[in-house]
Amino acid sequence: MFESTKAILPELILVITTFYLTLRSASGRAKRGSLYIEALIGAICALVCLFLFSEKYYGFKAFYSTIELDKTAFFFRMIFISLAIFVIVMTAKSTEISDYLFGENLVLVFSITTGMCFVASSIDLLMIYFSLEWISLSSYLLTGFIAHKRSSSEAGMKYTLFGGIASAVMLFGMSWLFGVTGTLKLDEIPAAFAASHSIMMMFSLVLILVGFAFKVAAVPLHFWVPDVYQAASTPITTLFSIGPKAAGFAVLIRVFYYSFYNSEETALLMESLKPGLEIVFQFFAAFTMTAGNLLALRQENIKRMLAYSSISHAGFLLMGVAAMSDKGIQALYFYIFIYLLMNGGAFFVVNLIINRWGAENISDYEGLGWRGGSQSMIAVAMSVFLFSLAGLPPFGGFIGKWFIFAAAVEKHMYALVVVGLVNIVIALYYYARILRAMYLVQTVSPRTEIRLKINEGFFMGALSLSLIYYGIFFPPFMGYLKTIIP
Amino acid sequence: MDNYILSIITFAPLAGALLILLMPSSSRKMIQWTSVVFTAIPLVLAFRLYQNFLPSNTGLHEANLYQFVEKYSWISSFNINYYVGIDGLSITMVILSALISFIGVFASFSIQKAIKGYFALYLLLCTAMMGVFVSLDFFLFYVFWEVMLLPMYFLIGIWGGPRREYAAIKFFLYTLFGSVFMLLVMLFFYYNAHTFSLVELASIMVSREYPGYLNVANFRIAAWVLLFIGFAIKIPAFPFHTWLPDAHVEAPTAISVILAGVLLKMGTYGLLRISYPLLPHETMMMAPYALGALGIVNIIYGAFVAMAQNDLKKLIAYSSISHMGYVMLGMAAFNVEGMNGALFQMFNHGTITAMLFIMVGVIYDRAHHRNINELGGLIQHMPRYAVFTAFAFFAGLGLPGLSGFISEVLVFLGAFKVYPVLTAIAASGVVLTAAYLLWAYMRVFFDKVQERYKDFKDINGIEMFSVLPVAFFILLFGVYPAPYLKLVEPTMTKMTSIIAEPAAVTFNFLNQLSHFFFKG
Repeated sequence: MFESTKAILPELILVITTFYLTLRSASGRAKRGSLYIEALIGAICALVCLFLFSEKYYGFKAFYSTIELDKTAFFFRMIFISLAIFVIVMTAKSTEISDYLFGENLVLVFSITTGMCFVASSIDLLMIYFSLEWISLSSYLLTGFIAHKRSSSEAGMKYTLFGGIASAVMLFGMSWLFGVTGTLKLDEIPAAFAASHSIMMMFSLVLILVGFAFKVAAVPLHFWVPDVYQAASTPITTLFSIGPKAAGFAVLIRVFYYSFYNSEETALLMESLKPGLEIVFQFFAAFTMTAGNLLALRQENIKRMLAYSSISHAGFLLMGVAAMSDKGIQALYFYIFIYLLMNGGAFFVVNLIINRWGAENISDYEGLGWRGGSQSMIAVAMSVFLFSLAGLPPFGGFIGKWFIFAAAVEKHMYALVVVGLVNIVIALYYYARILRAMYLVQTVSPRTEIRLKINEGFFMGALSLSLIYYGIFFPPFMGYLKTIIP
Repeated sequence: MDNYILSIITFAPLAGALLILLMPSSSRKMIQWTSVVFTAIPLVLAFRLYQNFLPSNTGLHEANLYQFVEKYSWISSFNINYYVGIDGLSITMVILSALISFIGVFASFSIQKAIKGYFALYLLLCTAMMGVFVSLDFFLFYVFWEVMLLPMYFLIGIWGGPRREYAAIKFFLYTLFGSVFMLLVMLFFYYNAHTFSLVELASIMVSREYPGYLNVANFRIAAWVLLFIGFAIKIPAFPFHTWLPDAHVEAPTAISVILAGVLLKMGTYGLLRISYPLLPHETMMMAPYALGALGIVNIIYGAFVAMAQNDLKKLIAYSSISHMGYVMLGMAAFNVEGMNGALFQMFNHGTITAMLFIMVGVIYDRAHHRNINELGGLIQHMPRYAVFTAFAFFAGLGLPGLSGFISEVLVFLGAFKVYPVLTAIAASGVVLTAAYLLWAYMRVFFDKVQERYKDFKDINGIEMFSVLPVAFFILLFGVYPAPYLKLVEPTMTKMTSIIAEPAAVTFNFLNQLSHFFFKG
């Protein structure tokens, strides 16, 4: 037990920080600045611990084999904790989050991060359910807790109802699976499977899939996304658009790929499930990317547009799942990492503009590239993020999409690939609308000049340069990702 | 240095672009001359390439016959390499794009707005164009092909005319739509032949022993069609041409020059580099319709629409469509004359249209409109300009003694053997071309002299200097095409033998040409 506790040291630090911040903000005297610094220190400590001590525990199954701290878990925990740091930096000066709520906001960010870290490492159905609910509850609160904003409460309510039903369905599916196989452990389920169970098995897996699809916001379980993304404060939207989605994919891959596809004892199971599952994922992927893109076309609010675009990115990621091969999963991991950089970057700029100008429509970006000084730099960085999101070379987003397409072509999913390719063209149209506003419209409306702080400039520059770096010199990282698939 | 010469040619403009980004935006002269220097480097090196190039090493599907090859591993898990090299097919395009990039800089000197951004993007565009012509790896080719779109979008969209936003996004979406399917074909080839190297793929496919699913005829036809859509949009072939007039008309002069001079050639170059050697059988099957018939439509339709234009730039845009039809027709003939003619026409159209667009740019800088009917009598005020324009127009309509004539004749010679009726129809395009160009010339330079144009300055030194290099090539190849044809003929001969069944006859084309000129 003690060994288990040591193994989850990063999560432990996150939990301790959560409690610490709760007490600090409850005392009511904490200044915003000092809370920010303390939160940042907590998150960075967690990340450092993760890098220092996780190698020792690869393959270690903690807490009665409910958690496995393997390389995949390490990769995802790294993403989640980095994301938390990113979000904390974004909240620092956010005008959307009042000083009064700042402490609570940080507490919830830490809580959701802890939940996501556990999702990435659970190998037990109960643990999966528990940690997914952990994420969900924190998200509901994060969406709805700006009480004076009506849209926030409305979105929070919508999210809660939707999420509640989705997790109920998922729990139902899990109970079926337990009934059929008599075990909750993912690695024991395939062995407990008998051919006569295949229909019940399929049924329960589809129900479980509903829960996961809700988390990754796959169509038709995406209806909560635009409202929630628009209503939440921008740093939290950034968190939502990357974190729970990545967590959803982590668990999706663990359940549907690692445990079912990967070993010889699963041959019997897969024989009966494979065709059905692949079709399901292909349809999910095709509908998700197409619907997300089509809905994004006409949005005026940039947060809403990015919300819909994140749906379509989930569609591309699902294409990697649909391929059901190591190559597909590897590509998906790469894409998630790049997505963290490019979507995070785009939201960073959106956050900046909202804080300085209080403006979040695409038309507010008009002439941004012509204002000179820091503002031209923001526009250049934003262009890099958008081109990368659109999937054009030489940026990382292109490589991510390319590897996913490669995996799908290998499995002869030509129809799905064509849908994906057409979607790249559609997506370019709405990303180009922002480019058009920034550069092609050259009238500069009177607004206060934005001056970048050094750390903001550094952040943006680092993100855009790393997108170019991973667009050209990606092979070593790609090679690393290959090793994390068991 | 010869070991890295192609990389230097390709990436020198990019280095220039980075350098420009470091300069203060107020130092106008410094930015302009940096661009001149960094486009002159490729031009000088391209001349060196020409000197050291052995035409007998014909490339295509034989890796050891490529010259100036560089190959470094890039993505080892997919066997993707940074693989560049040239053969008789690409060297002409490398020279053309170095030349057009260089003169485009001079045509850009009149740009006033945000020149730092303009020249940085312009140089990035030069790198991407050159990259397309030197890559021998499918993945690398695709990356350069797509990278080219980014600067183009901004160059049209920011520095273009009144409807620039529409033109820029239309160009962007159209070309992207065409090229994304190339990605599917590329992966399909990889998973069956296990390589991205265009050379290896060609040697596998030319042997007609198809690996894996490539053995299925329908898959190969689908691959051909998907590739064709991508390339046809770039050419642009008839039903896919609508982006071109918009982009040309709205783009600033130098970008029109690049568009017409180099970008359109990428379509036909792509067909020759990828579709022809990789899918020879399907090319043989589809090309008569997709290239031959559509080529005729391009020629005739382009010419008729050009005749109806009132905007000088739009007229030249449509004349480009018409002229690219000759290239398509020549390519569809599958004999040495036709292929030589097509490749020659690609170069000549590049130089001639570049000159035409610069000429239009000259009058637009002064009159601030391009309306043919409002101009008139310019020969009184701008005599030197009239001479230069006459030269360009005559080159455009294929006057004997200028280069356009030779390439058109070659195309007809080749095509007539295969498609006599179609070629007869196509030949009427020459008359139509003469009609719309001469009619436009008459309206602009003769007609009644207008007082309001009397202050117009005649063509100036920079403008003259920017057209002299292309004028030189137009004249040289008009009277003495041998240097060019010597360069490409062995490669084109080999191309026809790849496409046709092994028994096809090849013959010395230069003899034929002299026979045509001096005895028949």
